[in-house]
Amino acid sequence: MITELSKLTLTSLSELLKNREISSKEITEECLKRISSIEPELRAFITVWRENAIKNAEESDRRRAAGEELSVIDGIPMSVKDNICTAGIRTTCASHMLESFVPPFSATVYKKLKESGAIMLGKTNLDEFGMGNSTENSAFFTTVNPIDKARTPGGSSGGSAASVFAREAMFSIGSDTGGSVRLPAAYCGIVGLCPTYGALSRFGLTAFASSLDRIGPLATTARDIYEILPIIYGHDPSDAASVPDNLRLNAPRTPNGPIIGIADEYFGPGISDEVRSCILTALSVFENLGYRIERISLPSLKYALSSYYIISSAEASSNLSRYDGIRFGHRTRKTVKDISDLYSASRSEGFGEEVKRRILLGTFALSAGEGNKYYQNALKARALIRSEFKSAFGKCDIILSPVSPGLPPLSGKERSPLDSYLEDIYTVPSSLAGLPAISLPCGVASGGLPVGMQLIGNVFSEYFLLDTAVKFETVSGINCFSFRSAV
Amino acid sequence: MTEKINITKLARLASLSLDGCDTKALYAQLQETMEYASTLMELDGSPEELPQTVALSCLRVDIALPSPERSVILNNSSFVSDGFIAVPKIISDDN
Amino acid sequence: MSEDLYEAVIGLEVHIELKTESKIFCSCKNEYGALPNTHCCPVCMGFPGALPTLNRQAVLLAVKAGKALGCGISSVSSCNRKNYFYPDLPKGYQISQGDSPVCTGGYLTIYADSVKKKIGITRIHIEEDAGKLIHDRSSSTLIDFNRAGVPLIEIVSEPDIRSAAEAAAYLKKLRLIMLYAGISDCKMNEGSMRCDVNISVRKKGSTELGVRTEIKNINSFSFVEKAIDAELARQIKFLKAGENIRHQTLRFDPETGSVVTMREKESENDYRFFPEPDILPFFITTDDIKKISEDIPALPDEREMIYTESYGLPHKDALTIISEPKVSMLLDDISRRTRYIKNTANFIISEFPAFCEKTQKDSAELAPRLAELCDLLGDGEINSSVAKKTLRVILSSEETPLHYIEENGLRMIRDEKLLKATVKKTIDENPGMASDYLNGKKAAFKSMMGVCMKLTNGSGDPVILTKLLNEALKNHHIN
Repeated sequence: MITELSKLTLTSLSELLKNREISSKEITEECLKRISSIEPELRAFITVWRENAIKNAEESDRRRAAGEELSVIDGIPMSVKDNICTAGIRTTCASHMLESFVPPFSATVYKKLKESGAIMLGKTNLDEFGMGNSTENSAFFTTVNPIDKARTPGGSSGGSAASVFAREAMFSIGSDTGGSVRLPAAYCGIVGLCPTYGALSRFGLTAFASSLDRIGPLATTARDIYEILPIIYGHDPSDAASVPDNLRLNAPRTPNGPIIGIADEYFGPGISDEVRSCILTALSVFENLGYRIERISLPSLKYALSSYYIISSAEASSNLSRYDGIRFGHRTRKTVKDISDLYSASRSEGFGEEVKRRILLGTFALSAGEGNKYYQNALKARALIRSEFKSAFGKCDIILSPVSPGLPPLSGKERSPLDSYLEDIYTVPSSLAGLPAISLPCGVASGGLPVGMQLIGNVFSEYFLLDTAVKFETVSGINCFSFRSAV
Repeated sequence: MTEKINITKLARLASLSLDGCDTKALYAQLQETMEYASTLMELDGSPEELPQTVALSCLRVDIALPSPERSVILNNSSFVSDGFIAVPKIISDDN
Repeated sequence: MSEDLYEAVIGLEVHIELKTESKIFCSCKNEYGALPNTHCCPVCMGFPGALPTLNRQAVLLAVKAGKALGCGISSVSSCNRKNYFYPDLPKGYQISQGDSPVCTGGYLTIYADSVKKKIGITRIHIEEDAGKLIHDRSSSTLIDFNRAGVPLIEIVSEPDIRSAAEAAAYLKKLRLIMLYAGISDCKMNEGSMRCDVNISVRKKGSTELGVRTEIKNINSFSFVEKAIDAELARQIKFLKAGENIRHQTLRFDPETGSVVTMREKESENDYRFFPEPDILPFFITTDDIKKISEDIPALPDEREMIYTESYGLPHKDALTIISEPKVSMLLDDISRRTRYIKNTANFIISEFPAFCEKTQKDSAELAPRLAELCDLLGDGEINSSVAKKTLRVILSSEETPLHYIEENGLRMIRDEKLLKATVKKTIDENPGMASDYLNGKKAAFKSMMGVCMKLTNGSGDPVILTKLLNEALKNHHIN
């Protein structure tokens, strides 16, 4: 008996599987059918991994029939952002540079999910190397927003978010450097978690900005994320920045809480009226649940966007130096006169415009001279932001903010790079501070478009954030089902 | 910003070619971003607040593990010769 | 120094490969000479998504090197990135150290023209090695990444060196110290020790530094000397002609004996250093330092003092033995088993090449046998020529001295009756020698002693024989 895909969540599917009301093979085939049907329009996937998916689904069913103890996600189809290495499966980062790259190893997080029996259906589209917030910077094609095909799904994990909302997969893992899980989750009406920096392993995640990159799950509900998180959480000795389990101390809560913090800096003049009103409505939901609201101050947030773009571009300019076509990746076919010619030809052919722009910006920031002063000040700003968040969490337990200033923008708009960067203004502060944040739907705007809200927590408070999100989901009645699919 | 962004120099440092690039537009875009970031210069001269970094207390134990098969490692390059990776000849021996 | 007006100001940057099991940032084997690209993994090959993890032993060996050179050790140390493009550098950056290296401030002492001189050491830091380029092919260059990620320490000296000879002495001493401390095998021909020279010239008496040039990747001590002499001559020539020295990077061409500009690198080498975000700063505890220091044996300077003052060895012999760490450590071992240390040293000097060769392999079993030999000689059980013979036997077989001596009846003969008979026989059978001696040919005495020794199978007590031979010859004369 096939239950309608669009009504499923990971949690409800897991129940069905447990009760043998559906088999993994059936749901996997259903998702693959969905993919075949809507991909020509949606274009969320770069690679679909059909035969192996069915095989793995059959394996899962065999395990279940044998009465083995299974994880909650065993047999459940997932998609993986194409900047996360999957051994033996092409991993392109949506770049011509890695168009035929097949990694010989898998990311730790992917390995964990595989070992728990999740069924990988394919690799999803993104902004090239994670640089962008609309998925329009993919070198191959753009993904549309499944709720409104004229709009972008957000980015850089646009393919991941679209595939989940459209039920091509029941959950996805993406990556978040400055909002790349949270923004697409908000634009596609689903939930995305950006865990504390160092909570999940980065090993196997193609590096964009090392001190900011994190892998994060996307799913239809916060409840779903609850099920996924324990499987991918935890220290990895292969990632030196991954925090040892015994050092993941839960930050203390405020007495007489729970308190929600609101900062004026998150409600700047750029916010659209609809977003503002949805957020304020969400706030009143929390008030009715007994949460106190406290005003907090984060004055250094005015530096956040600049600080983010300078630091992330600087690190990216270095991380992307390995792409020279020598050991892997695109190598130019032109005849070159010397080795440096080989480098510049291969790299210029392999990288898209935005990637090149950020590399140049980052190179400028690290070079001796005035650019470097910007970099040093960006680091200062980061330290200030960090300490201001720390003080704020002395006064509240969760900070609530919009995810973006506006609704999902129309795709194909001619915007200057800076104008696109401005969309990240609310997601980058917690990125700089290494804090966890969850994005979940909090309202329906005109045209049935989703508005997402962001809950930012103190270090290692992911489960507290999820609890809060689940409460909101339950009481407010706003969730992925509040939006209609256009595909 | 008082200093002009020298795109040619940056491209050389980053091993990128500017051929076929609209360098004027590129320059304008970078300028615009840096202009926006100029508020950061308010922090010039302020004392450096050391970011809280956790120091690693445990480093990797020195044990050699088997490396992947050479064919696996070289699989993603189409310029392999006798187990080496080949590049156009480099004249100097500054190695 | 060719010109009295000018003095050389030389600093050396020495890169030394550490003797660890695995590479510095991954678990690939750290081994020289393997088939190309067989000790490589996604991390050291710089694949997307791969991350470095720092080898603890590499840090500890750097600490050890620091302690052996009198450096201060940082309690918190960190890495940085040095960004540049070159085919042997997989990530397009090298992970090295910037402001907080493992060690700072140390020194070593050298003999320069028989004068003891201290050469300061600025710092020691850890970093990763690059792969190897092979240029012999006609149209392509081949890359072997086995060496990429091998742990290195870079030892930077103060610019205290004033001549090619001092530079060579510094390198030799440094190498020796590293060998004793077990940090590296320092084989310049295998690239486990490499030297870059920073050299400038100034008028004698001036405290300002002239413009320096850099000579890179010189791979033998003698080339270092030649390169320095060549560059000094060049710089002085320029300065005398009123020209300015250009800051440039050079290499030494052994065939022409001259320094040559390296292929024009970018005029500005902007490495865009920044802290390595993938390797967090790391602690070095006082416990770590204490433990690793305990592992350092006596170093050359201390050995020199012990050998000359406590063992009473001649300075030259002491330095000879110290120049071969394995031999010197064998001496350590033997000296724990016998009190006749001077005998030990003399044996070693007398058969030095053989000892050098034998100690290349495991020679732990040699110590007890040598100690036994020293005791036999020291206690007067055998004479020195038997000892010499027995030494050669020990070095070329597994025989014990005692066994050999017993087997061949080589214990020292002190029986005066027997020896008297020997002397009598010698004179009787060699009247010519006796009369030669009595006619003033002193050398004949030695010949006669030779015969006595032969008759006693070499084991006659030379002191007693000398006495008896003298007496017998005196009587002979009288007769």
